[in-house]
Amino acid sequence: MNISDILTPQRILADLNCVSKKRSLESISKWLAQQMPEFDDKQLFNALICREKLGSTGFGDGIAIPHCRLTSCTQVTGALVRLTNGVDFDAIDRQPVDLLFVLLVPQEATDEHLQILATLAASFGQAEFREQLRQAADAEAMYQIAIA
Amino acid sequence: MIHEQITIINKLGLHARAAAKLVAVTGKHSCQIEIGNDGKMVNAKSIMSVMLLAAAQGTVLTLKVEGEGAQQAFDDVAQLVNNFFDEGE
Repeated sequence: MNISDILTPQRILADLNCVSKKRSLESISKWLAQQMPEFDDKQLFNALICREKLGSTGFGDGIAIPHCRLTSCTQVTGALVRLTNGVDFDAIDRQPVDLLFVLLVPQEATDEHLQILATLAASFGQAEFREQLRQAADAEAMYQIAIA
Repeated sequence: MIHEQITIINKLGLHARAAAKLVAVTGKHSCQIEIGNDGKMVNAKSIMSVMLLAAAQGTVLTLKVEGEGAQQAFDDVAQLVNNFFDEGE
């Protein structure tokens, strides 16, 4: 599975200005619900926050992969968000997070979920990939980097 | 050095939260810990590396532990894995 299978240019937000983890997930939920009417923004936000309460998805090096399973979700859906400033995300390495890959997963997609996590880990685990996303001029440039 | 196989038995496999728990356990030990399968061994203290394995339920993984406290580290990892990552299934 590739990032291009789950990401579209429309689902990239290049410069979101947020002060906290909670606010960033709230803004992202609203933005995603506007684009995809099948999702309710409050439901989405609650699901993402519930997952964070089980353990932060801030996986280190400024990266977070907030995700949740949703009954209203019929296919794995990704969104990429860059924050203008890093926020405290209770990350594993305690460093602020400025790049988020949000993942919405159907209720029963276990193997597919593991595959996409592996794909994201392969990309976001590379310092060069992360830096390119941080340096990218706009959402379109971020998209090209993400799917390369 | 310890070189043992371990089977992932929890329903969801080595998904993000399970991987985070694994890294929390391995990170407490100073010894070198690698996990993976024949072709691909990765650092078991790096969550991104552990997620690379995409290990589903039933996957047999190799655990390589070397250095001080290796046996304790292995036991701690084995306990977590065999306890379904505390997920109950």
